[in-house]
Amino acid sequence: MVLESVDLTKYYGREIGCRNISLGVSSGEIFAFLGPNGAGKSTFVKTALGLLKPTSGTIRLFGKSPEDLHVRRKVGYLPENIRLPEWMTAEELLRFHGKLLYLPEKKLKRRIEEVLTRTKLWERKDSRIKTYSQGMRQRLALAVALLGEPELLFLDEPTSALDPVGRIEVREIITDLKRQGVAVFLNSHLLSEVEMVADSVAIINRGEIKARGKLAELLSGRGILIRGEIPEALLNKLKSRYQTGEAPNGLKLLGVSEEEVPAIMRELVLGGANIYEVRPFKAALEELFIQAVEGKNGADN
Amino acid sequence: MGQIISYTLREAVRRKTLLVIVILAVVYLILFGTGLYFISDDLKIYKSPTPDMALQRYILLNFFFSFGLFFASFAVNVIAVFSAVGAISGELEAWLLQPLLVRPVKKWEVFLGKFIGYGLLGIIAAIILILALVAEFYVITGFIPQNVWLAGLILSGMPLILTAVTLTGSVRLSPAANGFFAFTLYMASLVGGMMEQVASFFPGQTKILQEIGLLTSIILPTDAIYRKGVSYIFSGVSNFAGPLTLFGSASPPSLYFLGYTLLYLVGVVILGIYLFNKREAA
Repeated sequence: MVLESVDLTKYYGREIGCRNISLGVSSGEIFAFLGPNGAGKSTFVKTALGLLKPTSGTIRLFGKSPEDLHVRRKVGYLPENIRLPEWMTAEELLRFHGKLLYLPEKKLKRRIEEVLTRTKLWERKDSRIKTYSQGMRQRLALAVALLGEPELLFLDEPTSALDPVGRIEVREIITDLKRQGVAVFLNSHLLSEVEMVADSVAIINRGEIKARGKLAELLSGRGILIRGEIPEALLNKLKSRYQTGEAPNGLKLLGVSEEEVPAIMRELVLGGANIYEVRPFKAALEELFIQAVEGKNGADN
Repeated sequence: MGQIISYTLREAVRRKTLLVIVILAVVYLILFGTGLYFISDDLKIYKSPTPDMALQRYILLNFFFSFGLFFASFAVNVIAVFSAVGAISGELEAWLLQPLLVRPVKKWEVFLGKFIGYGLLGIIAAIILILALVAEFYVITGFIPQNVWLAGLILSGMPLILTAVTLTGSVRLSPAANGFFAFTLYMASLVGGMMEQVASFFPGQTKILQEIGLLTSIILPTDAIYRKGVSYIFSGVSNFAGPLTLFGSASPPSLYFLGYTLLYLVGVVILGIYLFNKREAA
């Protein structure tokens, strides 16, 4: 595990930041931390980076304290609130961070070119940051995070200031990093984005994890959607056998395999139901997110 | 740590702090020089008709020089306070410091780097102002006070004290609150120092005024450094100077007090590092 937290709890005075967060991230895994604004996502990241001290519980990066200097060489961080020293140029900022990372001069020069090219800022490397747009600043902050070839990268809302093209580019960078074996801890509330790149997700609300697991497993809530008029007794019978959900003018039956569909249809028709439409469906992350946040699905998956 | 020092100094140059210092120095020197120019003819020692008059003019020249030095050091200390006023809390609030703190660098290195950076800036400001003042004084009056380089050297250390206090205050206080805190301390130190000087020409009240002076010097020894520095300029003439020693040094602090000042400086820096280590960085 490159990141492992056990019952991590952080209070700000009497206000809760996050509570009893236990999770792990493996090498090469893209882990998405989802939650509404103020849910506790950034608190967890700041604690994991050693910027905040946990109230209780533990957090280890590469098996060590986040404050260990060797650990910090392996970690990259793109903060949510990006503020960069406006009086510097992009190259100067990267050079400064490279020196803090003890990168040898030759490697530093190479890495500066690589990360600025990757984030499409190479042409503007000599411009003062004060002349950069918000999107360019976000890309530069990403370049700073990538500079030291981190093995664990924290990205806190990495695409919030980017246009659609910029978002695609960041997604590509994240998948490239995964191929290189880098673990990415992605804080986001952009569900479609997470759905495209994440291996695992945890959904947090009011400081606590409400759902978590491998994304593929969480989204395997397949089933059928039935639209029609179903007698009450028959409906209750189905509800006692299957996990159900609401659907417009009908019913969702979760966890139904394809083989079971003919038998269910026969039962419905013989029971007096008028069926107008039957079709398969796959759970979307958005649905899972809303269920978790609104408390309809409190159990860990 | 070298990177943090260099970052702090480059920031001062790029954000035009150094330029403001130079402009401030020029404005101050123009004001002081103009006043000095119009009285300079009456201060020329070689034009004195009698030895008594020559001594009087010598004392006056030293007085005017120490007057200039006093306000130059005031300007330098104001620079020291305002350049470091938001160095920690301000940069944390602006989210500028956190990206540095997740790098393999200890908090004490960041604090010490900033202290040395801002301290050097204060020393550079002091050197610029004192050198310019000596040059201007010489050009206008043809007079260079005795031991002026030794005094300048000691006075150049003054901003280090205020930099350390302001930087330590900036760990816990917001920039505005810290500015009031450091500046109030400095003013208390100045007033205490003045009272101690006043005591020299009101012998009846010497004890209480000296105690007030000592107390403020213990709380913030900047004025004591100033008095020590100018005492080298005034040595031999201060006894004759009377009320003119307001900007001089009637009772310069001992070498032991300089030792205390050094310990004070180290102590404040250690306190700042301790508080910074305890403070959460978000």
